[in-house]
Amino acid sequence: MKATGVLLFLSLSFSVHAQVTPTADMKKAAKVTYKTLPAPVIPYPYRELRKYTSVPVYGSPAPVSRHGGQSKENKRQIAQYERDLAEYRSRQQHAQGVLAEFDRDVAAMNRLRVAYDYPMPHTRLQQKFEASFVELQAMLGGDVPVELTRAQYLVESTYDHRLTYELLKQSVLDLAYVSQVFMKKEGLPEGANLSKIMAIFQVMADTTTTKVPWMEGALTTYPLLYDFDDPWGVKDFTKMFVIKLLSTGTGNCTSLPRLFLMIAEALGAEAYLSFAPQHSYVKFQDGFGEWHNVELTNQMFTTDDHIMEYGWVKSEAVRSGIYMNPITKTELIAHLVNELAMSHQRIFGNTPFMTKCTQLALTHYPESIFARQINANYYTELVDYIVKQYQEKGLSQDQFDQDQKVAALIEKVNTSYLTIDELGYSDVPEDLYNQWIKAMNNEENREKSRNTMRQMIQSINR
Amino acid sequence: MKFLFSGIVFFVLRCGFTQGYGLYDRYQDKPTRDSYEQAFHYLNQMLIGDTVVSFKNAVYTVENTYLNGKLDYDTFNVFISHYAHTAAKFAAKSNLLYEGPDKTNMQKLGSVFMVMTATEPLFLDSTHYLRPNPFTYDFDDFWGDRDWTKMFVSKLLATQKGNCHSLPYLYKIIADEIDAKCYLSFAPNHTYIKVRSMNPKVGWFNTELTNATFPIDAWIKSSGYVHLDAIRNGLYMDTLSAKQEIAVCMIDLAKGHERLFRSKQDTEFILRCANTALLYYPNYVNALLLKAETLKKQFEHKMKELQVAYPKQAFKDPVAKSIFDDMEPLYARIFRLGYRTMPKEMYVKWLADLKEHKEKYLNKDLIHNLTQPNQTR
Repeated sequence: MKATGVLLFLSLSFSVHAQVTPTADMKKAAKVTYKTLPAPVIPYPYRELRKYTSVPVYGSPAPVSRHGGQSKENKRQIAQYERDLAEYRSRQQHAQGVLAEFDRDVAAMNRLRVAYDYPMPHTRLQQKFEASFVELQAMLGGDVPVELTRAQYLVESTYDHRLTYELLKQSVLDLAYVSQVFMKKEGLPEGANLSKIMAIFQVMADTTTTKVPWMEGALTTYPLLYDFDDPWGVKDFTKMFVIKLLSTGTGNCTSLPRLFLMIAEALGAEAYLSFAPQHSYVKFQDGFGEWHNVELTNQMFTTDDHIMEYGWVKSEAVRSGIYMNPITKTELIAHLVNELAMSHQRIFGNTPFMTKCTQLALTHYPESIFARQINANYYTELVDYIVKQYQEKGLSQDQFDQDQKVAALIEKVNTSYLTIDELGYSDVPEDLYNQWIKAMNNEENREKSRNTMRQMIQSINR
Repeated sequence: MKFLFSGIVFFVLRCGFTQGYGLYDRYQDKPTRDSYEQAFHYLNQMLIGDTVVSFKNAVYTVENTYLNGKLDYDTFNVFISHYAHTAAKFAAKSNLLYEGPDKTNMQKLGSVFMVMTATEPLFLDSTHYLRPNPFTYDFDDFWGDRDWTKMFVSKLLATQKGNCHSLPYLYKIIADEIDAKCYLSFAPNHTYIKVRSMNPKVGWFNTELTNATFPIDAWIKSSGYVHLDAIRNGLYMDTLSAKQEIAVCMIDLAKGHERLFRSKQDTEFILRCANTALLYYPNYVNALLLKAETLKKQFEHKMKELQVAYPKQAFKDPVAKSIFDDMEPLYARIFRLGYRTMPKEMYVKWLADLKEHKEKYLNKDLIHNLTQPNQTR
């Protein structure tokens, strides 16, 4: 039916578009009819009575000539013309029906052609991302032992192809070894969690000179410092990486705490990552169960008040657990899946792979504000993308309004922003962030930090 | 004309109210225990849902019960409606530079704040203005140690001076009258107002009435020595629901009872109030503390009865043992929730701190949004 419809459409497509275009035959017939009509010749006294101002229309009573009406031939021609017209009209009607059906089909096809998600890349690099994703998923599912260094490698290697697992692992183990040697040198008890943390802090935050058996002189490690340039890796994404920190000696608030936790993992110490607005730091428990913060961007121990004051943290955020809350190792791996999504976005732009990652992250770490931020941004941009497609395909506003899929997406965007606000998210501009890092670094805070460290070392030895 | 008339009535009544207030501290006849039972019953009915929940009525009931029925409900109402009327009138004409779907609510709240704290005349229309008479903080006996009526909203209305208990209560009552949405919130020994703005650049913000400012959360956290766990568990800096406000009033009632009948055995009423309040507001720190302290008093009384010096010696007595078993986990729970005691000197320092470092703790985001309207997201 459809095929014949299309065929018919093709055959009629020339005649259908104009309003009424009579064929040559019809014109001929009409002309003949007009010509053969006798000219009205009216005698004077009747001129007033019989007035033909216009050409008579078919359907009205036929004019009667003086010679006794129309000839047979005329009548036949008129009948023929009428039949032709009726057929023409019926054909036109049919064609319009076919055309309407065709339009409907085309519109449906166009709507189908609107992509409701970004295309997924199919490259060899994508396979690498998928492999990392699968391994992280297995780690989260419990099929593979959870290892932070491995997970970090899986994320970084997708962006930085030169990186090998052995290189990263060895660098971490080296620092762990130095920490152990430092512990022995200072006489800190080796089994205690607190002494391990103090040693890692010392190695990462201060110049440490130790004697190792395989070196003739003393081994000196230098503090790992904060890189004020591009702290969130906007221009260069590798700024976020631990391997960048290890190779250049400067890092940011993502890589510094991450390295701390990796060394802690190698030593078997218990330390936790915690978030503040656009910031992360390390939290650990002392012997009395009180929580303390390690701020590696400034190499000091900070108080909760400090983070809350300068980090613009709201009480709702603390209550909902998105900020200033120590996260477990599984949650940290889930956070790394978010970073995998960010790395993917840096290379491919927005893709459904990102939502796949955030979905996995949110199942294992429901309070992850990072995943929610990625999602909200993703869906906002997706709606823009669909709007653009609608404009390009010339679809109408009504069609856009009636599109259920778009409506659902817009609803999703609105609710995700509302959820983020409700969780107590606060935004910190980059210049203010750097100001905060600098403001923390004053003598008063240093003194406080030194006191905290002294107290803690005393408490270990007690 | 009607407004002018109500104003005259208000001033006439105010004189009477202020004079009558003098009677408060030298009442001859104590309120009976029956009146306390009645008040408890009324508040409990609100909590159960038999009566309409009204914070104003609950506050009135608590204060009237302590004052032995000397507080006239109509007079109390005229005061409240005067401020509510003025605030509504001011809200209708005010032109707040704020953008968001909840602009009317913000205008109402802003006008309540202005009516309570304005130091300059407020012009309501072409012929009327509000004489500036701001409510101020009363540094004398601010925890009501000597005179419990210092905590009362009626005292605030009569003398224009209040504390961190009565000022936010009055704000909340006026806001309720004109259907403005805001919430009470607690900090250590302190109460303040929290508001949710639908403008995402502002979000939640605090209104502090003792100093008439809008401080950020960090002020309450850092200078108030709030433990992080206390925030996480909703002990402090969390908003109250309508029923939780009534539960708070119930604890106020119990504290009044404790003040009036200083008998060590008669703790049943107080415990009943605390338990009822805890049903509706499980992490209300004052209810938990009142319950724990009352149990402690009971236990100490028992120890005296048994004539023993150490708690362990009293454990032979089954009643004493059960009291101790109730009390100890309660104290542990209060500590675990993040409560730490705060000395009085520290509290005064804290309040003064906000005045000194106003720059540091002011909610600049909010101020910026009110002075320069931004586009919403």
